[in-house]
Amino acid sequence: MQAKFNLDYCATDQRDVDLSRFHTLLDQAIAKSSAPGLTRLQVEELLREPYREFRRAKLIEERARLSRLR
Amino acid sequence: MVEVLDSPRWQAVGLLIEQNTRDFLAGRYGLTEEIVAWFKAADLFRAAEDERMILRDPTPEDLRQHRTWLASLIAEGERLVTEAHARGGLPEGTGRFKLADVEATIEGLRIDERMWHGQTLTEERRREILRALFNIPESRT
Repeated sequence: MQAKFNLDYCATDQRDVDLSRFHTLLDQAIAKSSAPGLTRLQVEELLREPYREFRRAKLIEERARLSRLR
Repeated sequence: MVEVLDSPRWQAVGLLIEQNTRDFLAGRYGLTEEIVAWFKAADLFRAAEDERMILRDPTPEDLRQHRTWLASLIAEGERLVTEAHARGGLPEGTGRFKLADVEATIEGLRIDERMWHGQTLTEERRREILRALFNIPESRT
């Protein structure tokens, strides 16, 4: 989740590195899983709700941090 | 098309994409500037996504608009990459980003397309994979 978040919000010159990191972690998760025939595309399709919850929490946390600084 | 959009967030994304298209057709800027403008459109899209789809539950209209702008950004990104390849790469002194960063951004948008709009998995397969990957007993989608 953090790797996808980094890919979404990183500087433009980090995108290649962050995409590679995301793919590496996906491949590791697939290798460890017991689901037969699992592919990156299938995992990505499944990430919608788990990633949405993760991203929402990060955004709320970030906005709270910024409001404390103001 | 923009007139029918309810959300100013989605409107802003659409206006920037349309402006970028007009600039391209008029030949106003070079390839590097076009890529920077495209990166900005993708970032604005991400901000609209935050407000409309992450911090609140998206409506069917949000999902439709999201899919439309995703498709536009992916198509424009592919055009820019094709143009760069035809010229043998990005111009000298392009700045901080590489062509691989443009390609990675396109792939990031494709991941979003699959994540938000993919419908290739049956509910049974979805539950099976969630269990195997995250130990999540039931799909929440």
